[in-house]
Amino acid sequence: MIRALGALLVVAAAGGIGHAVTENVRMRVALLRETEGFLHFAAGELRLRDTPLPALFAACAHRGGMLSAGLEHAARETARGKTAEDALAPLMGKLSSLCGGETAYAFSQAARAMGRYDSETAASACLRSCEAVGEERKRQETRLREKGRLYGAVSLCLGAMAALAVW
Amino acid sequence: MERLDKSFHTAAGLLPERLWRAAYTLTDEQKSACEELRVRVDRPLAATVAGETILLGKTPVLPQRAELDELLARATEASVHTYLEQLRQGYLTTRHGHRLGVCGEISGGGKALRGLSSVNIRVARPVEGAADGLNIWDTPFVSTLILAPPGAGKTTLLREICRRLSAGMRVAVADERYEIAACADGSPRFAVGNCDVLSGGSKRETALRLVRAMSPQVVAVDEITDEEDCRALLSCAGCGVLLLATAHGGDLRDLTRRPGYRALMEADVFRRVIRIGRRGGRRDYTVTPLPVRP
Repeated sequence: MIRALGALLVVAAAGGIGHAVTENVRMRVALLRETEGFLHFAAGELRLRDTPLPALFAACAHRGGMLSAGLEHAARETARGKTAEDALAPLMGKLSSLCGGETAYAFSQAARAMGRYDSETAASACLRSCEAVGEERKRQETRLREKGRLYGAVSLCLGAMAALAVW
Repeated sequence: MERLDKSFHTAAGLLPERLWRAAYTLTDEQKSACEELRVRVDRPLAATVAGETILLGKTPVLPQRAELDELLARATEASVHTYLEQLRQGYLTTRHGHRLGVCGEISGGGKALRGLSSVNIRVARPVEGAADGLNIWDTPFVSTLILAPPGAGKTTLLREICRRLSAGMRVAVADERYEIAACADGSPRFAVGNCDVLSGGSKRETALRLVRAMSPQVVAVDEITDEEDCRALLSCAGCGVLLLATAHGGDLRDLTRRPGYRALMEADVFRRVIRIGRRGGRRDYTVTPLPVRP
């Protein structure tokens, strides 16, 4: 009985390790989804309400999430007259390290247009970036599914092998 | 005094650091009386204090192009898109109610302004009690026009009359340029009493919307200039609403020179004119009742 329980725990632990290996991909997906949401929200605010950037960033930061601190910082900095591109630089750094250069580049294109041109141009840039980020999110989600299955199967097999070995 | 210093502080706070330091070389008394800060590329930074021009800094300070760009970024909170329509018309009003007049090169067929060359920061300064000395409070309010040249204090007086009137009447303010109430996030920066304020839209659109939506007894508008503004006021007057407005002009004859004003006068819309002058460095108000035509 104790042996069977021990073997079960070994298999479960191995499955857990497999899940943990995919954790950073999961986080990447969550960050991309939030970024997409922010860009979509920004496009709407710019297009329909001409919202000033400090208010726009603050409203988004207020909703919480992984972008919250970066957007709060951007709200403060733009209120002092810093460009959106400069104010969002720390957030772009985070995106670059977690999601890769391409995503950060897409985001920077939106940041560059915000507050610099008319609302329509800025909103269009946000939507283009949103699309690019969305593509990347879909890629990561597919990767997550594939990786999840692979790591899950390998971990369970290794776990089962370990359990048999100690039986 | 504290409020006056705050007005100067928020206006000078728009300046980049080097210019800001120069602005703070004014004495406290000068800061309290400062009406404008003039920033021109490669020309000495100056302030208008009680009608006099004063060069700022211990030695003349020449603003650079990049400093004007920084000033504009601060004034717009890095959000040019929000102020685009105002900038097209050559000004923008900050969230503290200061109006910046801007000059540069008009480009894109009048759509945009680039190559900023000069900025005039008009320090918005509410003066509570400015309307107390007027002899208009003992009789029921009648439609009133405030007439004065630019910079004489028309908006300040309008704001004060609105504030006092709103204690007993329903007053709606069409604040096209955000100068009367300086509303930001729904709350007015300046004391306007119990007025209902609609900001940002054109005077014509805003005044008529206020009449429809807020059933005011008095509608207040700042700086009627073109014929469309005058037509809007005529429409409001036709709805049985009293009007309080300001207009550029030196004397009563100016009211008959411009076609728009002439139409208002011929329709007997206004029953009283308040003119603002200066006497010994202080503002002086003259109230003139307008005769009603038979």
